[in-house]
Parts: sequence; C-alpha cells; structure tokens
Amino acid sequence: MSRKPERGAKAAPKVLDPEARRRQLRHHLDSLERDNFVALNEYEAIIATAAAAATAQGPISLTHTNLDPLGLLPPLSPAVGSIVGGVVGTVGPGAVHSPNSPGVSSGGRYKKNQQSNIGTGGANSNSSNSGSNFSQTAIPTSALGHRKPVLPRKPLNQLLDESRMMSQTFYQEQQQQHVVLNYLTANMGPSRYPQRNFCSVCGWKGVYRCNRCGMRYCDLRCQKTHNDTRCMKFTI
Amino acid sequence: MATRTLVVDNGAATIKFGFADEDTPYRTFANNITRSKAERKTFVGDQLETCKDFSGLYYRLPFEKGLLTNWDVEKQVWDRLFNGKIVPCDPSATSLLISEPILNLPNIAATYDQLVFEEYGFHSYTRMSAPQMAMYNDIPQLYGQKMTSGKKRVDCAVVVDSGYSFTHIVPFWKGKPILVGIRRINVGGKLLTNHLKEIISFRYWNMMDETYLVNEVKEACCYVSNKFWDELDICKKSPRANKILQHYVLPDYSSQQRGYVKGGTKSKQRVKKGKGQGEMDLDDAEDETNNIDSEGEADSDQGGSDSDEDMSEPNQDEQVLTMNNERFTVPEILFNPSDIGMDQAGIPEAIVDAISSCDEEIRGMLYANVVLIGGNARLPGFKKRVANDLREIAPSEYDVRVGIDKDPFGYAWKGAKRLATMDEFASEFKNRLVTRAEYLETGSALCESRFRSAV
Repeated sequence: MSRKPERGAKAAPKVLDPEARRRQLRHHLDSLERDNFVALNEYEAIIATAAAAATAQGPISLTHTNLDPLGLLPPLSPAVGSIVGGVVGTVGPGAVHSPNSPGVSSGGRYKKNQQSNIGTGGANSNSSNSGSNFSQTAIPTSALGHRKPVLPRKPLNQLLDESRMMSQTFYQEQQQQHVVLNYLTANMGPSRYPQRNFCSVCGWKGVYRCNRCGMRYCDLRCQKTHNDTRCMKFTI
Repeated sequence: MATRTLVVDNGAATIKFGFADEDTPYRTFANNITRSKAERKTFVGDQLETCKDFSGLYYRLPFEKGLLTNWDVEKQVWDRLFNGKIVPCDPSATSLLISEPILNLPNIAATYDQLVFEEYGFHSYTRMSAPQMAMYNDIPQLYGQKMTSGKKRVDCAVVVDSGYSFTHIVPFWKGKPILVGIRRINVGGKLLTNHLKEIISFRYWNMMDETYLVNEVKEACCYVSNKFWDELDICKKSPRANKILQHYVLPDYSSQQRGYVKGGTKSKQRVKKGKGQGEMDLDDAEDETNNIDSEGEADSDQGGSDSDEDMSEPNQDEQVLTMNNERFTVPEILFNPSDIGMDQAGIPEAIVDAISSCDEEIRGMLYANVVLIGGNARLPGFKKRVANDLREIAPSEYDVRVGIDKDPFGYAWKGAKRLATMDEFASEFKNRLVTRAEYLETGSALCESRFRSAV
C-alpha cells in the first residue's frame, strides 16, 4: 500500500507526497502515545492471528497452550470481534506470569481470589449472572478447573462505542440537551496561531524543508546529517 | 461501626493514598506493573522500590489514553493496596474516596463500582474527578488571600490539571464542574517523555527502551522557558557562553542508582552504549554535538543543579548525556502542541476557550481564580509562563491570577482529605457516599446519579 524504496541496485529517488507525509505524521503521533511494552504488542499479534484462525471451530480454550500457562485467558467465543476484544491485551504471559519470578503476585492473588470468592460468593455469582458490562460470557469457575479470569479486557475503542450508544439512549429519554457532553466532545480544537517549525536534527529553527521527505532542517550541516541518517529510511 | 476513610488519588502514572484521619502525608507509588529485563523480575506497584536496576524497564499500564481499561493490571495493584500489605486497611470497615478521570465513560464507571463493592467489599465509597477534589482546598490562600468569612469554598475557579495522560481545563461554579467548559489537550507527561526519548535517541544515545531513566532526566533537567526564542539562540553558542547546557550523568547501576546533573563541561569520555538496536547512526550526531560543546567551562547552570560532586574531577568512566535545547523545547509542547504537528491549541489558549464558553457574568471571576495542579505543574517556570501567556491573550478588562501550590502533585489528594475530615464538609461528604447495602439493592445507576448531582 505504501511506496517503499526499491531494493534494486538503483533506488530511484522517491518523493513523499502530502498524503504519505500526513500518514507518517499520524503514525509518529500515535507512537508517542504508546506505552513501553513492546513484548505485549507482539503477544497480542500472536493471539489475534490464532484467534482469527480459530473462529470457525467454536469456543476454544487457550489454556492448554504454553501461551497461557496459568490459565488466565477466557475461552474464545465464536464471534471474532469478541475474541479480539476479550482476549487481546489480557495479561502477557512472559511479563507477569513467569513461573520463575519469586516476587510475582499472581500466586498470592490466586489464593486471595479464592478467598474473596468464598467471602463474597453470593455477590460474585450475582455479578456473573446479571450480565454485567464487561464479561462477554459468564465464565463459571468449575468449568475451567482453575481460577476464573477476573475481567476480560475490552479495547478502548469498543468501550467508547458502547458508551456512545448508552449516552444516545440517555439523550432520547431526556431530550433536554442538544449536545451530549462526553469524553469525545471535550477534545480541544486547533490553535489560532500558525505552526512553528523546528529543525528535526538539532532543534533550532527549521527554516528549510527536505525535498524528498518533508522534514525540516536549519542549515547545511543538519541537511547533511539528515540525508545520511534519516531521509526516506523509515517510510510507512 | 466506625469507618475510616481511605483517600486514594488513582492516577495513570502514580497512585497517591493515605488515611484521612491520619496526619501523615500521602504516600505514592507507581500505578502499573513493571518488568525488569535485567533482573528478570516483575514488580507490582510499589514493589518497584525493591528494584536495583532500572535499565530496560517495561511497563504495563492499566490506563489507556487516560481511561482505565485494563482491569487485570489495576486489580493486582489494588490487591496490594487494599488487602493490607501496605497500609492496614480493612475494606469492610473503610470508606473509600477514589478519583476517576474527568468525563469518565459510563461503562468504565460501572466497573469501578463493581470492583469496589463486590471484589473488595468496601463499606461505602464515593468517586470524583481530581480537579473536583482539588476544589475543596483553601484556594484563596494560593493568592495570599483569606477565604471570605462564612464561605467554606470559593464560588468559582478554573482548575488546570496537567497529568500523565493529558491536560484538562475544568471551570467550576459553586463546586460543580461546568460541563460545556471542559477542555482536554492530549499532551501529558507520557507524551513528553516519549518525545524526549526520541530526540535523545536520535541525537545522543539510543534510549528507546529506557522510559524510567528518561523520565528521571526529564524531571531533573527540563524547565519551562519564558523567553523561548532568546533562549534558543543562546543554545547555539559555545559552551562558555551557553548557560543552558547541562550534563546529566547517566547511572551505571553498579555503583550508583540514580543519575545526577553535573555542573560544568568536562573532558567527557564518550563511551558508546552499544545497544545494537541503533537504527540511527550515532556518529554523525556525535560529531555535530562535539562541535557545539568543545572544551570549556560553564560557570552556572540554569535550573539549579544539585550536584555536590567536585567539578574538577573528570571521571572517565561515566556516560554523560548532554541536554541543550531539549531542556525547554520539550515542555514547550504543553503550550504549543503544534510544534510536533498535533492539531490542538496549548494550555493558555485552551483556558481562554474554556472560559469563553461559560456565562459572561462569571468570566471575570474565573480568570481571577486559575489553579494549576498535576505532575507537569512541577516543572520550574510553569506558573510564570502560564500567567504571562494568559495575560497576553485574555481580554484586557479581566484580572488574571494564576495560583499554584507548593506541591501541585498532591494537591488533589489534600483537597479530598479536607473533604473527608473537615466538619464544614461533613454533610456534603455524607450525601455523596453510597453504601454497599444500597449498591447491592439498586445497582450502579444509583452511584451515577448520586455522584453527579451531589455537590
């Protein structure tokens, strides 16, 4: 989909068009939002592909594989959406549940969960039967044979969609406000003032722009550095 | 049954907690699960204090874009907190006062209720946003004034909460937030740290994995400048005249745990860290910076270096990170997100925008009562910059006053503590609480309505 530099003997000098530059900017801004957990993202990719492959076969428990040694992942339900929503992003195995780590809390948590299950047994069964927001399917403890997964995690986008629907019905009942004020509407708009440009190499005023990729530089030395290190090397 | 109140400020980066009836200050620890590659151990929440080697630390955050989505992680942290390991807390005899993000999603809010009552079994609880907690403080004291007698709290104020995930501007009227005036800028401590990581990795050393370390560097070296273009010009000069240049000595985790800021330029031994992942060619960047900071001595250091090291001792083994214009261009993103290409206005413009959407009669009062809270407000020069910029763009007929506490980080927690303990707020506090019995009868719709409508 994107134009990558050809890997032949002669790489033709490509120029990034505005569309590609905007894409790069968006990718860069998204990367600034990322948490520092690279390993987790890879794990999610594995799960997602495995889940997508397994949809047709009905509920599959990932508990037997070594992806999930302590059985924290809930069994998959047929719909892909709920799979990705329910499974993706649950606790990474290498991260938290490494059996070797002595100080890990999951061992203690196991016992605590059992205790809390006993102590508030009535309440817990109520919660699983009442169709609470976050559990896709009620997961009884006995079926899995080990502690029930606490709360299948939904990705933020799914939560946002659901809440929008919820606030829609609220609006229909109330019929008072024209605008439903929520998390999304509170976003601040663009600035009145023009953008200030900085050199991407040293940070001073970025007066000039690279012809090919559009990044800014301030003088000849920075241009040379840019051409040697970064120009067109990381296109998306 | 006498209940104690536990006040918890549940933030995306750190969690601040303490009992309301104790006089001890709040305690804080990181609200995440970290895994150390070097030690191959996992730390939940405050176990991080036992960690020796902070290099290559991986985070697992419960918050995503400022909203609590990953309850597995959060529950583990809360387990340690609520089950008595850290503070003696017996949930069934405790009232919980916990903070939530502003304009929280209803389905996430329901999960808060569920977890507090059904998992932990608290006696009663209430949940409010951090700016609302801060409103219970003695705000006129920030401006050197006393509260009008007879009133227990200011009529209106604008709270600017600049935290880890984002920055919110929330105007308040008679203690309740004015919903139309809430503005959110998607720039927070996380974005600043990630940006600083990228710049450092391109210009000096590859530190893309070292979030914890870069966070420390940011807190030690960065400041907000008041004369931006002038200072940028100063940075171009040679080190003899360049007072902004600072050297941060990176820790090697064998002899010292924390880095520190060094006073002057020494003959530095540039030891390549050799991470091997360097997509960036460090040679050119190094040559360039070597040209800028050649041998020389800088006498003073902007921003207050606290190094007591004897400056005449060049330590050849240490790795030094040079901080030049990054020191103030990184926090500049708070004031101009368009610097990195984000299509949003900065803090002063957002304040003007927020106040302009409120009623005309109260705008004057709002401009005169601006309060800064949150972790980013700890940057030196933050208050002066906000006050100057706001004065420039606010309408001239209004007085502009910006106030900041000595400790903006824990200001919200202090406000919540006042709410829980002071007699003047006792009836309000009681009206807000939802007990476990009520919740089990009615459900979380009750919580929703009571927390929203109560003042």
